[in-house]
Amino acid sequence: MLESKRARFESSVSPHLAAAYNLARWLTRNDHDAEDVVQEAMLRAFTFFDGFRGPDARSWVLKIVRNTCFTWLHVNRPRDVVATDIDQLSDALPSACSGSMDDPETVALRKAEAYQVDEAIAAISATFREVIILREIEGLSYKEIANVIDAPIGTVMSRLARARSEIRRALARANDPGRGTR
Amino acid sequence: MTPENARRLLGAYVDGELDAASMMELEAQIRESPALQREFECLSVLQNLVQSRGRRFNAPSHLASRVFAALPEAQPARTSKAVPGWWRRLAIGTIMAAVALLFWSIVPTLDRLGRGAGPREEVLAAHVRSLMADHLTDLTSAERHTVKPWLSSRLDFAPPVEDLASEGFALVGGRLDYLGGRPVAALVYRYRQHIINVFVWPSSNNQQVSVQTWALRGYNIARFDSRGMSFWAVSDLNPEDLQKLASLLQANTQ
Repeated sequence: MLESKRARFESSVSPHLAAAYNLARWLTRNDHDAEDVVQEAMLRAFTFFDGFRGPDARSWVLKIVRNTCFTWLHVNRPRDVVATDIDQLSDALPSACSGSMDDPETVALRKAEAYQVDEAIAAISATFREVIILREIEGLSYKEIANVIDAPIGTVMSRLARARSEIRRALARANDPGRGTR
Repeated sequence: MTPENARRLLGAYVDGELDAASMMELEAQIRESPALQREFECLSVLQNLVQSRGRRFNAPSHLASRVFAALPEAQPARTSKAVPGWWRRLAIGTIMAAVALLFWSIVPTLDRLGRGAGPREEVLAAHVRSLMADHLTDLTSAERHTVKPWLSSRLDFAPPVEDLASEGFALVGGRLDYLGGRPVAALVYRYRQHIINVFVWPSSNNQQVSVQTWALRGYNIARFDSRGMSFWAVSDLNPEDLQKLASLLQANTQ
């Protein structure tokens, strides 16, 4: 009985370990910590596995990994986590893209190198980074992201908008130091 | 759609998350507003950039074996050098001990399910669990043409779904469950104030087995086989009405 639970757990979780590691690596920004967090998350997941049913094992796994990451961040990198009442400010968010396509910022955007993209993503706070990773790198839908971060879809949308706006500004700064303070 | 709303929906638009009506409305606005047009193009460039150049970190090859080796009951095969800090090792050790302890307390239960009264106990446990966990249905619909394809697309068999509202058994919805080591369909019916779980899975024989009923700890269970499927109905409903449901289901699936 126990062996079959282990076997079921492994076959449910294995396909999603890559996504779990990628998310943990982006949130902890460190190889070793990412591994430790994934391992701890999988121990938690195994404990709760009896209560899991439903078709979406990926969201379930990512949710546990994400929660384990944020517990870890609160202890180890408290400044990386933004108080969630920031969402209420979202209505006043600046547009992610306000200039014209000939604007130097947009031109710079088109020329951005892969490492600059990674640096820009890494530079934003974990609260916004996680929705970008889930959406753009892992390809989750808004509904799946809402499920993983346990927030309404409106929050997913405003965090994505905020994340994109910050990534764009970071890229513009990286490529055009003269306009860096904008 | 106000310009402000249109601007706010651009993100959902590039993410392909808008419904058709809002999409058409937004596209009309983008055609008319150069500012919106620029913003849309810029968002697309940005999205493209992150999707194509953003990094997906590859998990180290030893991760899966490390993670699964650390599960309770497996012999610990973890390498200590991968775990920096004694306190972290202590924390993981504590968690493992807690998990192991939890396991010891449920192992006898699992064993009893495994050998004792067999499917009846398991079916009853699943029924009680579905009521306790506030997770009665994955899909709530009284429409069998909705429930059946939903279940069929998630299982390796197509469970028969019948609407018996005219007989007083209203279809509430469907759920995926896990019994006897395999995924099964759970159909949920309501009869007056009683919830009935009907578990369906492919049976090993193709014979018809007529309705049998049991009483177990205040619950009633009815079971029959039809067209290569095993049906198990369980509820706190009285045995006569539960048997009636089972007979109706059997008559409808024959």
